[in-house]
Amino acid sequence: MSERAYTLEEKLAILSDAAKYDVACTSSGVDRKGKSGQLGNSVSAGICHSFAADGRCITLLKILMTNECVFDCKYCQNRASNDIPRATFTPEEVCTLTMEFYRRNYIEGLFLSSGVRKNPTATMEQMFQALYLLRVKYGFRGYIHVKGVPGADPAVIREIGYLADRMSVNLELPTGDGLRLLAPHKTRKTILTPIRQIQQGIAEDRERIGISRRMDRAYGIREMTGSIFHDDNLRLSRNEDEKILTFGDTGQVRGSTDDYGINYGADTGTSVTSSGGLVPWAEARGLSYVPAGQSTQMIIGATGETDYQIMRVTESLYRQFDLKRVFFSGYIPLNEDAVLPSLDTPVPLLREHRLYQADWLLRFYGFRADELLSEDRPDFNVLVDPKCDWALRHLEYFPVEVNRADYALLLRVPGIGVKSARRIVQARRNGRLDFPDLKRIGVVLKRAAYFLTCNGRQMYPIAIEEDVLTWCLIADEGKKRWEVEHPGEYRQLSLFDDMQLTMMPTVEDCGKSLYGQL
Amino acid sequence: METMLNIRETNPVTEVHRFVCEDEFGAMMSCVYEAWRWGNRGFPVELAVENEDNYRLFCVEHRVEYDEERAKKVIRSIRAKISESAFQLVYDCAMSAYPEKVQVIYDFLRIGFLRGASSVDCLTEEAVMRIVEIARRVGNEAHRFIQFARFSRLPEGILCSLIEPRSNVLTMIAPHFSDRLISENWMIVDKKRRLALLHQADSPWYLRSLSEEEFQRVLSFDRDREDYADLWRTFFDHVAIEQRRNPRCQSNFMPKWYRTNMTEFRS
Ligand code: SF4
Repeated sequence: MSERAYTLEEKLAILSDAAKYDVACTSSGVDRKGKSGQLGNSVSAGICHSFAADGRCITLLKILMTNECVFDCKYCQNRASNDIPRATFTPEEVCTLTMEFYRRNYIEGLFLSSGVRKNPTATMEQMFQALYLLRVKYGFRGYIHVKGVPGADPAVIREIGYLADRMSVNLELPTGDGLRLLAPHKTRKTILTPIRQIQQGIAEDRERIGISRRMDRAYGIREMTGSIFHDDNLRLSRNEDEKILTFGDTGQVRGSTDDYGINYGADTGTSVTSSGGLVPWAEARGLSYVPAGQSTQMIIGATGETDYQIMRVTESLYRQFDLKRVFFSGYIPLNEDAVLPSLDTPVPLLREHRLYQADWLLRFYGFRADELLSEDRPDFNVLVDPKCDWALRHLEYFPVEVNRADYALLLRVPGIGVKSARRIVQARRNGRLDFPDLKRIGVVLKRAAYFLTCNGRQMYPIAIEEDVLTWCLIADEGKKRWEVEHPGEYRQLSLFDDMQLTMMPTVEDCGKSLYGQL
Repeated sequence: METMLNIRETNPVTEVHRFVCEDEFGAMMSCVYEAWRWGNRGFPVELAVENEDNYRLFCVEHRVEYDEERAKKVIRSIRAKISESAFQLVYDCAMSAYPEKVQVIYDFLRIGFLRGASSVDCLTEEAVMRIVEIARRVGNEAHRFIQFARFSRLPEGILCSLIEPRSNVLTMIAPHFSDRLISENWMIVDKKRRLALLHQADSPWYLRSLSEEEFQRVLSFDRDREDYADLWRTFFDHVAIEQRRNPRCQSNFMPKWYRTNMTEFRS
C-alpha cells in the first residue's frame, strides 16, 4: 500500500473523498477584516459557497493531509486494514490549493483533517507545517478549521490552535464502550484530554482579551433557570456529566476521573489540565487561540446507544467542555465487519434530523435532555418533532396567552421560533397582539394555533387533548418526515414550505433553517 | 423656471403627471425631487423608470434628467430627516429590477418625511412594508453573489468574475470583495448591464461601464479552461456523499439560475 506519485488533481480527488464524511462545514464565529498585503477576511455569520449533490453546503476546502493511517477504526474508509490508494499532500500543496481556491471565491477557507501517519504527534506536526505556512508565510486571513488528533503531544495542540479559527476533536462514538468496540486505538481519555486542553486555551485567551471565559450563547439562555447553560446547572450537574462522558454506557465506573485527565477545580472552567503555556511566535503576532470555538462530532447508529444517551452526552459536552457545536453523523456503511451494521443499512437520516432538532432545543430554546427523553422513553418520536412531542406531553402549560407569557415559555410553543418569540416580546410593548399580528411576526400558526390564545381567544375551537392534537400535528409533519427519509426523490412539497424559508442560510450551517422555526 | 411655467399651464388637477427617469440612482433621486414639488402642489403624480413596456396613455409625461444638485439634496434630506437606515432602504430598492421601484421609493418617502426616523419600523404601513420587502430581496440577492460569484484569472493576471444578477448588486457587494481581496487586482462584470466593478490592489473600488471592445474581450476569455477550475470541479464532485444524495435540498439553497456562471456547474 505504498504511495505512488500522484498528480495534484489525483491527490485532491483521493483526499477530499476521504475527508467528506466529516460533517462540519461552517465558517462562522469570527470576524476578521482584510489586511493589505494579505489575503482574505472572515465574516462571523459564515458564508456558504456552494451546495454539493448531497445538499450539504460547501464552505471550506475539506481535505485530509494524508489518508494513510496506522489506526484501524472499524467504520472508517482509511483504516489501516483497508487496501486503498493512499496519498499525502505536502504543506505547500495545501497552501496553493487554499489560496487559489479562495481567490476565485470557491471557499471561505480550509478544513484540514488527517489520517494518522506514523503517530498522532508526527501527523499534527505536518498539519502544523501547512497551517503555519498558510497563515504566516502566505498571509491567509480566511477561515481555518483543524482537527485535533487524539493522542498528539499537547505542545502541538497548543501551537496549532493559534493558526486555527476552530478546532475539533471527534468524540467518534457516544459511549466509551462503543469506542472500545469500533475504535481500538482511541480511548475516552485520549479524546477528552485534548478537548479539555483546547477549552482551557480558549478560556484563557478570551480572558486575556477581556471577554467572558465562556463562549457566547443564544440570547437570554444563560438566564433561563432550566437551561443547560445556566450557571447553577453547570455546577450541579458536574459529577453526573463526568460520569456520562467518561464511563461506558453501562454506567459502571471504569476508572477514576484522574485517569481521564478531567479534574474539575472549584470554579467553572478551571481544571488541573493546563492549556500548555506561552507560545511566543503566536503572541508576537497577536493571534487568538481558536476564536470561533471548539466542536466535535459523533457517529449515530453504528453502535446501540439510545437517543437519550446521545442527548445526555451532548448536553454534558456543552456544559463541561463549553463546546460551540456538537455534530451528529448518521452512520454510513463503508466497510464489511462483524462488529458493524451490515452494508445495506440505510443512513439514519430521520434520526439524525431529530437529534439536530433536539440539539437546537438545547442551544436556543432552553430545554434539557431529560425534558425531551427519559430512561423509559429513550428514543425520539418518529412522527412529530421533539418540541411538539414535549408540548403534547405537557398540555398543562397550554394554551399560552401570547400577551402575557414570558420569553422562556413562548419559546416552548410549537411553531414559535427564536426570532418570533423575540419579536412578540418586543411588539406587545406597543399593544395587544392578535392572530394576524402573529402571522406577520413569522409564527407558524399552522402549528402554534393549537397551543395559543390571543386575548383569551383560541384560533380554532379545538379541545386541548393529546390525541386530537397529535393527529392534527402528524398530518402536518408527515410530509416533512417523508422527505427527510427520501432525500433523492422529488416531491411537490418542499421540506421548507412549513418553515417559511425565505432567506439563504448564512449562519452556522445549512441545517439551521430547518431548525429555526421548531 | 421652466418647470414653474409648466405647473401653471397644466391646470386640471385630475390629470396624472408621470415622471420618468433613467434607471440610475442619481436620476431616480432627481426624479423624486421633481415629482415631490408637483405633488406638494396637489397634482396627482406617478413615478417610473424608463422602459418601453410601461408607457402609459392619458397622462402628462415629464422626463427628468439627472441633476446633481437636486439628487444630492434628496439624499441629504433622507439621511438627515429620516435616517441612515431609511437611506439604505431607498438605495437597495433603487438597485432592484422591480418596475415600480421609483414609485415605491416615493411613497415611502412621503411617510418618511412625515414621521422621521421611526417610519422604518411602521410595518403596518403598506408603503413601508413594500420598500422593506423589496430591499430585503435585493439584499438577499446581493448576498447570493457574495456566495456564488466565481473568479478566474485572465491572461493579464487579473481576477475576473462574470455575473448576471437581476438586481444591480455590484455596488452592494463591492465593500465585501474589496476587503476580502484587498491586495489583488480584480473585476466583477455584470453581463446584463455591461457594468464593471474594478479594483486595483490596495486601492478603492470604482464602477464603470465597459466599452464594446472591452466587453468582448472579457467574454472571449475561456474561463473554464483554467487549471484551478478543473481542480475545483474535482473537489466539488468528490465531496458529495453518494448515500446522501439530495438534489432537492441542493436546488432549494442554490436555484438553477444562479448556476450559469458557476465554475462547478460548467464543464
Ligand atoms: S484515525 Fe480512525 S477515523 Fe481517523 S483516519 Fe484513521 S482509521 Fe479513520
